[in-house]
Amino acid sequence: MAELRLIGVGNRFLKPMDLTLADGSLFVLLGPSGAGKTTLLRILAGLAPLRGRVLLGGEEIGRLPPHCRAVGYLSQEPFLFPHLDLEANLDLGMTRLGWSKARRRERRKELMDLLGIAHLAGRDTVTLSGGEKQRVALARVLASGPRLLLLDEPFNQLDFRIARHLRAELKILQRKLRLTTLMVTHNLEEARELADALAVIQDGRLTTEEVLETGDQAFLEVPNLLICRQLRVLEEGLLELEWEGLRLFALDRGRPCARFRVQPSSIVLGRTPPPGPRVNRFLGRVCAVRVNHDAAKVECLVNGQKLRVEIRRRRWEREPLTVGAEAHGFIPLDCLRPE
Amino acid sequence: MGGLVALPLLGFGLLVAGVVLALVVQVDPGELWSALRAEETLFALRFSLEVSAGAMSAAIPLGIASAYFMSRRDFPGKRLLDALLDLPLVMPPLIAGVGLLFLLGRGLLGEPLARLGLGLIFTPLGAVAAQAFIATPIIIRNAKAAFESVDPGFQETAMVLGLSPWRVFFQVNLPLAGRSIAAGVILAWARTMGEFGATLMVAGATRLSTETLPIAVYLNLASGELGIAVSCALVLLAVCFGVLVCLRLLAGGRGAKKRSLPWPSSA
Repeated sequence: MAELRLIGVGNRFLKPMDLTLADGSLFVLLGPSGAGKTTLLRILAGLAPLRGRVLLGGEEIGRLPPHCRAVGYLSQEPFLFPHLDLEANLDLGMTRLGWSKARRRERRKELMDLLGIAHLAGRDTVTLSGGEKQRVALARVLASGPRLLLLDEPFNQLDFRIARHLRAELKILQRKLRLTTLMVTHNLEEARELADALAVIQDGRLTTEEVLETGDQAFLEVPNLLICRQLRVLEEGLLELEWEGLRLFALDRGRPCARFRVQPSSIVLGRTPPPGPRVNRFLGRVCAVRVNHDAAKVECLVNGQKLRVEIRRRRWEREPLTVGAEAHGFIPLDCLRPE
Repeated sequence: MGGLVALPLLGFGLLVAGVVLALVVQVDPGELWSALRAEETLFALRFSLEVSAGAMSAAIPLGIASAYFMSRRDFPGKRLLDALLDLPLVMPPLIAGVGLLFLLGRGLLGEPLARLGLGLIFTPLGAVAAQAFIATPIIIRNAKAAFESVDPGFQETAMVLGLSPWRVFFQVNLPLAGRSIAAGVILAWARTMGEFGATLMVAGATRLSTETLPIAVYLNLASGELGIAVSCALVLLAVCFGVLVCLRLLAGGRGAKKRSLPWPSSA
């Protein structure tokens, strides 16, 4: 029995909240950047200070150090240990269990088969693709034998097709393992696809599901809407578009479209031209900046049109932008999605 | 353009080669060979290696543990302590030696240590203490930067996966920061091998007793024994060169690509 109960759980950033997750359910907490989603997961994992009580299967785990909680935490970045190969990464996950070498090898094989990564055996983790890394990271978390799984937007940094595929796999896997899971996301589509139960978090406070039902989603990540003119369809499965004098390329999804959505967190923005292909780039001027503890929200004027861009806090600290500064941007072509 | 810029490089390269050559040609090869095999040279080499090994065995755990703590914790007065730990790096070694002499001699720690049978002043143990004092801040500086360069996400991941704090240190943080820490340790060791001022003040300069390689150079130059002085100097140079080669190997040949880039004008 691993029902999760939060009683008055909070800290400096989070208002005290009560929440119950049924045993084996997948609960999704939906909210915009800076709402306190990651903070809540970090509290539950033992990585941030806590007020209140956390009961997992009736046992108080809120005062235990992180390594004694039997909680699995998968963040946006997989953090595979680069000095260890794939198998050693999985083995490290089993340290707490104190298993023999043979039992570890058996469990490793089971998990690699389950996650579809058996063909990656022996690979150096730095050579894996983003989707493969996230699969290995999930296998490693499961290897640690968690009683509760915490997922912090684990597909956020992946190509949307791979993310969709992994989401479907996760749902099947979670059902199969009946592992109590709390996932946070700012993606409404993802939340609705995965959740057995759902709540909304905003400004460090839990609100009710009714918010979603009324369709009031203004606080969620609002996508940019680009009204484009379609120039031509290219043979490589691409569309050539024109938006405010800029030439853009998008994936051809087989239907004519003039309105495209781009999530603010999908756009790359910085002081210098980003690396990568020399298409879908733009030069803009920063006209507004709002920084919270999780991300920076930037409004950038591009040929007279405003683009909303969200930059993760860690990257923002490395390369902050000031209002009035010139900024180089890039819209990944698979992130331009037809309305 | 490329040729002109290379001139200062060539000039300085010749100067360095000239210094080494000037040492070698001071004595004839026969005398140099016998000086290299002289009892005093061999003693100085062995003593230097033993003392530096002793100093490093104290400085490595002390330096790495201090650096780990400094890189992972915030506490009041951290900046002040950070500056204080850097002081031995900029302090003239002679002054550091005088300070150690007063502290470990008749000062605060001298008598309690003597009661424990740990006489440090003018003993080989004193040389170890002096060299550890010089080497530790070098290790702290390098190891702290190395630990800080490891993304805290790795540590947090390991903790949540169930690794105890000790395992997190030995299985995650130390291997991830290992290369830079090793470079710092090698630098610190080279510094202890060439250490003169602090060792002289704390351990003295007694022939065949507290005679490290630099002290052997000093004593034999003072007494006009050029052969032994030069041979000890050459042994020290060889050690330093070996250290540089090790550091290049640790850097993983990353500089090679940069060196092979053409000058913009010739592109």
